[in-house]
This record gives sequence, C-alpha cells and structure tokens, in this order.
Amino acid sequence: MVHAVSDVDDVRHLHDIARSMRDPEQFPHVKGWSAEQVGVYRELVFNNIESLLSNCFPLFKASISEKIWSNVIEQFIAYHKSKTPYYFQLATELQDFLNHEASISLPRCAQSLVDLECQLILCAHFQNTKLFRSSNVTTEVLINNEIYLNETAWSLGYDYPIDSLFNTFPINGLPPHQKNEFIETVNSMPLKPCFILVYRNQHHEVRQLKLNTLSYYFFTLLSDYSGSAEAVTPRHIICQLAQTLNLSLEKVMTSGAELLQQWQRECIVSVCNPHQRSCLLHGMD
Amino acid sequence: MVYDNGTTKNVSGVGLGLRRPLIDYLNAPQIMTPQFLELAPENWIGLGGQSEADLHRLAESYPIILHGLSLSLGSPDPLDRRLLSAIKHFMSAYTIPIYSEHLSFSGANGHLYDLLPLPFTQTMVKQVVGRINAVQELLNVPLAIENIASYAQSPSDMTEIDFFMSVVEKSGCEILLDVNNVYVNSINHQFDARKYISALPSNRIRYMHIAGHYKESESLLIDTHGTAVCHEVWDLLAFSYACHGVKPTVLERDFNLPVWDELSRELISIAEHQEDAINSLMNANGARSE
Repeated sequence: MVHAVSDVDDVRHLHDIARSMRDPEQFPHVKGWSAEQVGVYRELVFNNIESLLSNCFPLFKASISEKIWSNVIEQFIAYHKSKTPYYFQLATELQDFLNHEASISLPRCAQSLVDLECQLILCAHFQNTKLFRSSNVTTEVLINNEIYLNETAWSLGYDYPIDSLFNTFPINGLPPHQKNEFIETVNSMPLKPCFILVYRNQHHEVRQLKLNTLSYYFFTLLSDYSGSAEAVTPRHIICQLAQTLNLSLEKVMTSGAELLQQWQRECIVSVCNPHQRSCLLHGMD
Repeated sequence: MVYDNGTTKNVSGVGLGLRRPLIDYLNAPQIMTPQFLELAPENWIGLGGQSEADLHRLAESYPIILHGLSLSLGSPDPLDRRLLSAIKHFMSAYTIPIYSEHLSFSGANGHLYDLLPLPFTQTMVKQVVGRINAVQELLNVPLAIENIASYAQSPSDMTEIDFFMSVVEKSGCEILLDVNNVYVNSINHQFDARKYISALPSNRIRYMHIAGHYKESESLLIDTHGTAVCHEVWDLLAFSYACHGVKPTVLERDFNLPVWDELSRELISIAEHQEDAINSLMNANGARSE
C-alpha cells in the first residue's frame, strides 16, 4: 500500500491527472505524485501525440519552425478534447483544432497544407463501398458513354499553389539544410488558386494530379453526375462547360478527351458499371 | 456469468504484436513465424486500402486477437459504446476470440492517447467493474485486462495486486498478464515481482505479454517496447509458466524494430521457454507417478 487515505475523490483525482498532462505549467501538481513523476508522464503523453502527428503532417511540420511545431502540439494537448478513439483520425482532430481553437501564428497557407495532408490520409484509408472496375476503351467510347468514378478520387481546391511544393521538395524526407528554404517558400507563397486531384490507384497507392481550372470543373461535374439517376455522358458535360465558360467546343472536347484517357489509365474513371457483372461495351478493347 | 459469442477459437503458442513494418516478413516464408497475431483495433477498424488488404491476407494465415488502446476503462468519461459496437463487428468479421484492454485510463474530457494509472481504491474498483461488465455484456465475451506499467502511484487504499484481483474477481473478467510490466513496476514501486505473479489465479490468465523496457535510472524503468527482452524478464516468464502453466504469449515490439532474425530469435526463445515449462511439468508428473 502506497498511501493510507480514506476519502480520496477518485473522479476529481483522474481529472487532476488529465489536467496536469494537458497543461503542466498551469496544473503542475498531482496529489501523491512527485514533480519528476508528473514530468515522466507528461513527456510520454507529449512524445506519443507528437510522434503520431509528425507522421500525419510531414509537409505542415516542415513549413514551420521546431518551436512553433512544439507550440502547436502543446496547445493541441492543452485545449483540444479529442473524441476519436482511432489513431488515424488524430489528423482530423488536429485540423479541427487548428481551424477552430488554436491561437498560433501560422503561415497563410497552413490551412491548405493541413487540409491536403488530411485528404491524403483519408484517401489512403477510405473504405470502399462500391466496386470499381477499370476499363480500357477508346476515346470515342469514353466520351459517349456514362462514366463511373473511382470512389477514392476527389478534387480539391486551395487558395495557394501548394502543389508546387511537392515538385520542388522531397516532402517525406526533407533534409535539414532545406528546412529554411522550405519555410521561406511557404511563407512567400502568393495567393493563387490551385486544384489537385487526389486518388488511390488499384495498388492502393495514393497519388496526386495537378488540375487546371477547366479540368477541375470537368472532374467536379463528372463527379456530380456519376452514379446519379440522370445518365449523362462526358460529351454532354463538355458541351455544357464550353457553353458556360464561353470556350471553343472543339478545344474543350480535345482537352476533355485527353483527360478522360489519362484518368482511365490511372483507374480514376471507367465506363464499367460497378453494379453489372460484365463490362460489355461496344468499342471495348 | 459465462460469455460465448459462438465464434470461440483458441490461440496457443507464440504470438506477435502486429506492426505495419512487419507485414512483409509475415507474408514471406520464414524459419520462425508467430502462431498468432495481436493487433490494436483502434489502428485497423474502418480502414480500407492497403491496410484492409493486408489485414485480409494476414487473417487467412494467422489467428488474430485484439489488444485495445482507447477504451479507457477507468475514465470518468462515458464508456465509448460506438467503439465497442465497432469492435464487436470487427471480432465477428475476422472470427477473433480475444479482446484485451489495459486497467488504466487514457483521458478525462477527451483522449490523451496514453495509459495513465488509476488510484487503487474501492471506489475505483466499483467504477471499473461496472464498465467491464458493460463491455462483457455488449461483446458477449469475457474481457481480458492487462496490468499496466506505471511510473507514479496515486493515493490508494490497497496495493496494486489487491486492486487488480478485486477487479478480476468482481467482474469475472480474464487476465492478460504482462510479465514485463510486473517487472517494471516491481522496480519502480519496489515490490516482489514473483509474489505478485504467484498471487494471480492461473485459470483466469488468458494470455501473456513479454517486451523490452528502457532503464531511465536504477529506480525507474519505462515500458517502451523498444528494446530486446532482458534476462530478468525472461526469468520471470519462466517463473510465470512454472506458476500458472504455459499460456499463449505475445512478443510486443513497437519501436526500434530490429531485423527479422533478431525478432525471430525472441519468438524462438518464447517457444523454448514454453517447451521447457511443459517438459518440467511432465517430468514432475512422471516423478510423482513413479
């Protein structure tokens, strides 16, 4: 027996421990624990959460100094009441905290970076509800038939050109000597729309494709119509786009056809109806 | 109360705590592979993609058991029944016979994602037993509770072993005996590890854990699962088998993962300890019958 006590309020004590783990500066004491013991537990809690979030946000972490990153984790632990028992959802908890509770000065594009990294995690872990069956058909067939989208493909739009970071820096292993250059690039990022298609391929690899404004709207419309009661072909959508944006139908049709072929190769779109057993379309290769 | 979900499937021998970097080894032919795998449901439930594909493949080759992290048995927060429903569904989908959790809490007013120690009091026994009963009723299987490693003790009115035993007796739950944690706590809180292990009821021990720890100082060990198992803990495993018979035993290695050969040697060592314990028991029985 460690301590002879008779009237310990256990529930209050558990809250005291949790409070001290969250904010050891404001709540440094836990009844019956030495300062060293509080320190050991606090370090374990901090390191565990820091390590989990580091793995989720290599890009966001690299975009700020070590000191600010530590501050983000400290505030997250102190103020955010995480509800999820699932570790892979911790990324979403941090995003929620940064969007609604944090009072930390971050780069202007931080929200975009955090969102993109959350989307990459969601895409990797998304549990399919529909079967996706790839197709290999001619452009003519693609354009003129109803299109089905891979559930694990979605388009994202941001205010900053964060896609450029992936081309310039080795995001998953930024060498220390590039850290300052990376932070500078992130901080000087101009306000300019950026569109990205995030998808998971047949080998479960998460990939990204840069989209321009036209391809973003094209994909968004395809996505809106995919699986809807109204059977709409890409040709119909392309005509609609050209008319709305007042562009040459011929040019939009050419670009749209090229995109569809690329997306078919990447298993992002298919002419095969996931609800039918075979994919017997005229023109199927 | 007897719980049976109709899918009871026993595991035996040597198990390994599943970590994603180990998956390739587990799918390849090896001289020594574990006989079953233990995984944290919170790291696998609801995941599609590569994780789901890996899990399907592993489940075809290995029996799987669950070792939870987030149920927070002692927490003042409400019991997470949605998590339990998901666990029930998961157990049914993969025909999983065992679900274990830690006798600890992992937060109040939200998760802190770590295992925090409970005060050893009658009030706490009552609180935890109520929650364990709710878990067992919902899952219709006995929960196995693990003795955690701790680095501080809160104001208490009983010892750790008395607290642990009270919870087991009053809830009818099973025990996951973590041999390394007994050793770590025996140093951190200065008690006799063998006495602790001897006090446990053999018939309630469902399985065991063994792992490595970090020596922070002469009087402080941290349960890291990041190093090889030390000889004191191997001795304690042998003692546990001698006391309670051979139980399925899981090697936990979560950090500083070594090459497979090194892990393999530890799996083989568990198997050898199990074989030695069985031989000793048979020799003793043989000697008695002569």
